[in-house]
Amino acid sequence: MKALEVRSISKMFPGNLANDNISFSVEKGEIFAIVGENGAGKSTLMNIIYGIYTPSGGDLLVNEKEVKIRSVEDAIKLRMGMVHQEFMLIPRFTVTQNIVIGDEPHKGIFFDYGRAVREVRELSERVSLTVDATAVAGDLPVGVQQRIEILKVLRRGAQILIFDEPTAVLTPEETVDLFVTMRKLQAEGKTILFISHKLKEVMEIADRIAVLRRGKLQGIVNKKDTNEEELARMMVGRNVVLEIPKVDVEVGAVAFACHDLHVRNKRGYETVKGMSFDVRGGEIVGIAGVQGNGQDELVNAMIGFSHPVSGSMELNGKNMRLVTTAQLRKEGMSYITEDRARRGLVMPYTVRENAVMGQHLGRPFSKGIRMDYDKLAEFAEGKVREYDIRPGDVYDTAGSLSGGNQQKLILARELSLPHNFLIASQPTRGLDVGATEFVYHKLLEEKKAGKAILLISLELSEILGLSDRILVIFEGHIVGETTPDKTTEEALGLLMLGVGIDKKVQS
Amino acid sequence: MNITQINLTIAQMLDYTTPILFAALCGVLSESSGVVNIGLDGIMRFGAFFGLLGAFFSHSPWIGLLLGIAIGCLVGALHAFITIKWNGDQTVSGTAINVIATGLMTYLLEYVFSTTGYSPQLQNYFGAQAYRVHLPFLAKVPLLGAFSDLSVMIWFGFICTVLMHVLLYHTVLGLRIRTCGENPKAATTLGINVFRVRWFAVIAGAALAGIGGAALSISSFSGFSDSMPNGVGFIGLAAMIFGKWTPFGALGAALLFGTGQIVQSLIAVTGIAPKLAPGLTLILPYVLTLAVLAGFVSRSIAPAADGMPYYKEQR
Amino acid sequence: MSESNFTTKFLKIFGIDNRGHNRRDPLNVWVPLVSIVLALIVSMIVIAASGRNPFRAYALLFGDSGLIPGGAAWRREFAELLIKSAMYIATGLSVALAFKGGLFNIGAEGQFWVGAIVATFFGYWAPVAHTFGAMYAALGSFGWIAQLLHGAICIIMGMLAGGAWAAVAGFLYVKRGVNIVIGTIMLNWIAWFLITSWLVTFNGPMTPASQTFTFGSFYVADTAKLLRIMMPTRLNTSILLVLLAAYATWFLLYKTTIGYEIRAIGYTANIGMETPRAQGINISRRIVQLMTISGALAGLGGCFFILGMQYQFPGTAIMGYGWTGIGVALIGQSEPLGVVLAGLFIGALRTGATSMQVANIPKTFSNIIEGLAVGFIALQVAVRYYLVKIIQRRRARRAPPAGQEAAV
Repeated sequence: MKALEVRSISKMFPGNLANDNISFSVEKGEIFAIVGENGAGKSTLMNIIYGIYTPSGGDLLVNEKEVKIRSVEDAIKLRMGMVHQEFMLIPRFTVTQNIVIGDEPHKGIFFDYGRAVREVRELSERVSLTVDATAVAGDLPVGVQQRIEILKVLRRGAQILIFDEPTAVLTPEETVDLFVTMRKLQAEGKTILFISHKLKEVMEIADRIAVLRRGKLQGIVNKKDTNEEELARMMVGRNVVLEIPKVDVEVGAVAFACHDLHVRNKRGYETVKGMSFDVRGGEIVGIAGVQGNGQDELVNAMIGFSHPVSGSMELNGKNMRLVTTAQLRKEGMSYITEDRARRGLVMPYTVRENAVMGQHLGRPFSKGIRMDYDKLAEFAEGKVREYDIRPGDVYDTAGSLSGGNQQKLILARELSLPHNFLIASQPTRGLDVGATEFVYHKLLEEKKAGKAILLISLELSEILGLSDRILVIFEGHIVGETTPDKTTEEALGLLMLGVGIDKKVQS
Repeated sequence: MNITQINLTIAQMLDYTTPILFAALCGVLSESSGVVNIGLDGIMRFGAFFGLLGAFFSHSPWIGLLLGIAIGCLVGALHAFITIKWNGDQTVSGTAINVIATGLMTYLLEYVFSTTGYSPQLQNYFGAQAYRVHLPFLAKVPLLGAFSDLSVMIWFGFICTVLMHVLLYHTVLGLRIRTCGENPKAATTLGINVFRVRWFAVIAGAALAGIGGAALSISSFSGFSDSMPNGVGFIGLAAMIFGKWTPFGALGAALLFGTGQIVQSLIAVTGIAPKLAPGLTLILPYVLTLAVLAGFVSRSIAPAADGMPYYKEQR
Repeated sequence: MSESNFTTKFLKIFGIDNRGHNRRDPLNVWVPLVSIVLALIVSMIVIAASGRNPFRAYALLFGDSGLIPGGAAWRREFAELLIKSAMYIATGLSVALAFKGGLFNIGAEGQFWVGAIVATFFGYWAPVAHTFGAMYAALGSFGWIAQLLHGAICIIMGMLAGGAWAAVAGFLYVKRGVNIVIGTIMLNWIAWFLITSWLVTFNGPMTPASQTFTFGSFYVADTAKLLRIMMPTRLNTSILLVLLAAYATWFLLYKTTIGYEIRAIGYTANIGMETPRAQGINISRRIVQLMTISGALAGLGGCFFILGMQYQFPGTAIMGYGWTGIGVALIGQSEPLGVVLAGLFIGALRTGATSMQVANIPKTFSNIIEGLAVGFIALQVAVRYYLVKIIQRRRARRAPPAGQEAAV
């Protein structure tokens, strides 16, 4: 019996066809994985199935009956449930409140909290997902918060469960626990849709796998009949192992160094727990790791967005632990971000205005407080030619450019700032092959010019192809250092997952 | 200063407090769901005028109260229409309501009563002897004596505070309202219709502001004056923040601010510090509110999604 | 040598060139216009519903607004229009500038009062007033120099005070996270009660001791009053000063590094301002500076109010100039030129409204029109939606589709 069938679903966002004519069906009691790169349209598809987005076209069938899912309420009535990538929790509420909202035990109009707590305890015991029903959700670790999400969905009697990248934020143990839970749910006859871009996990848990690329369904394969390489090929499109030429440069002096660096995240938890490393002129140091192992906080500390709680941080020999972004910039820090809309560009600003941000003070772009916009345009026009930014009108807003051209604009700006230390944080995220190649080319040019480069990436091929040294981070620690010729993707992957590393068992 | 004087002062203080309390409760309900309503000052002005209008022509303050509620709902619906249906800026919409209220009430005052400045005085209003709640057994009790003879509206204010607390913290709807104010997206994924909940909270809140306005014109005073509400709505906003967005907190803050308003007459009665500049007691609510917002006293934190428009399909 | 070339060169002196900062959306002009028209229509319905003649009312309103030349009273009306507009433009610029930086300065009202009270003080305070009085007497026919100087001191002090008042809100925002809207509302009332219940109240420190019933402060010295520029009307230099301020605001926004940074902050305000921050822009400092300048502009309005109209801080309520500034900024779409036009429009409404009393309509009626216009601007998503629909329909009718729909 088909629990869910998707027929020719499409979703159009302004200027972007997020889902293009997608069809597949999922059998009852199956774990069905949907894989694809960031931006391939996985989350959009799930949001359509779950009634958050309205599809631009196509039909949905649940239990072989055609249905219209206009809202989440409809989806819940059809016994579907979704565990979202970003948890839908209210930090101020208790675990019980979080689990029962939307379907509260009540006496008349009154909320029966006592019964709710009892129900949550019973449920958590029945499905052996331990939670403290009266704890405040915001105080709990991520793994437990995810358990709350799963309990929430189960309590609504969901038969079809959608897990949207559930492992992205989990530790390996938590992932193992999650998979045990998923298998148990499967044994109870529940149908599971598992969204991921981690092929290893997909190969471990799924029965069948659908691959999405740029909004299109590339194919559906049985786990038995496939392997990671084939999936990867389908995901990426053509067999691109970008040829990255080896560039040998004499390594210079230490540009950036940190020692025993501890950084807290926004919620006050320490997520960088004592990192020490240095980056020298003329070398690319790659940081490999699963998302959420401290990369974001490390970058925030290095660009002056948050101050490390302890440890030392030096740029060109100067102490930089408690300085502002402006001081770091002045000392020669440049930063290429993956988050172009939030951190890279001012989208309503024109290309010319974006091109000089950070060097707009002082000549040639301003005299005193007076800004010379003609000089801006002149400069931007030069950069547009040099970096081949299209369509090339410096009066276009940055927001109107494609992702690749936006990234070129960021590169043009950051590389024209006086700098000797470059932080490249997932510099090719969401870019097409051409733009990716361009970024690689520029990074290597920088290396040739003797700059020190720190490359943070989730793509192992990128790390292996570009880095001179590789640091592997896991749970806020550097757990290994190696060089590309001494390691393989597999070995790195194991290290990144913390395999073979002594660590405290977390609850 | 004798017992009678103290009782009178307390009663007077409660008279000042009630409109502030209703305004604050309006804010608490509306902002718990995530919609800021700085138009509540204007809604109070609507409520004050229409409350008087109803009471004047029907000779019953009850009808006035109903009319105040009705107009509150109507203006609240306008705010909801602009901010929820069309995602308009909540502050801009509130400002528009305040400005419209200023002009429209003066116009209507002139149109209905052919006067400027003040409406005719009411004989039948909640502050009048016939409409006061008499509890003679309290008269002799120290401190509670003031409660033996109060306007109906004051008691109504206390009751509304309790009801609001029950609504927000002990009912299903309350839990959902707070969910929409904290994380509307999560609410959507749980099948809660954020738009419907917010519409309800804004309109019900505005009804309370309407009552607050009516409390001015047909309880604290016996008529409408063109300067009403004279910023009481904004004191209410301050009371809401000072009370940390909770009903009982709002009550406490309203009592404190009400006291600040009449400290002047207290000083006159007691003869303490006659030289104290009067402005200094009147600015107390605002200074205290800034202090708690800045965390100088104890921090007051708004609901997480307060003031954020909610778009269902957003990437 | 063509004339346009000359114009271009002339404008270039003021830094005005014809190349936009980015492509402008024509709807930005249509939205405020449509909002005003809708507001006028709804107001007409209100008048008609109350059994009065809306056409007569509007004839009086616009006939005496000073907008239409001719008639015996026109010069006076035109002067009133400009005097009023100067204040609305000042507060409008204040709010608009803050908007550009992503801040909602709802406190222009309070900054206006603070500017006004400080200008009053320096207008009558003996050490200053006597100095300039003596100077005026000594200079003889060059006495206007003393007037200019005294006025300038009052205005500078008033602007500094307004700026400082707004800077408090900016400081509380960047250092302690106090929402600008709430912070400035609180500061409004603090200013209001400090002034009306203390400084200018009965027996207050700024009132004459002999006063028994009438409230209000001392009157400013003659030398502090703004020069009149169109006798016999009371039109004064305020309109010229505010046009200068509008130009300065435009220059600040579009020709300086501060403006460049402010706009970058404003564009990213609702997504955390991380881009400007990552480029090393000191956001906290810019926000405090922005609030200071914004407050100074509102304070300038207050100076006009005292030095050009009232000559004392009156005891009766003078609420509304700052609130109106919000409407002016919104109708003017936060662009300095738009603010000037919107300020003139609101000033005209206020000027003509007095005459509507003849038709039994209180002069506060103009508040209804303004409030409705602001309301429709709050509804601009809807206004835009329907405008686009209308444009599409018209295009479709004009050019029968050759397969494709006209896109907007």
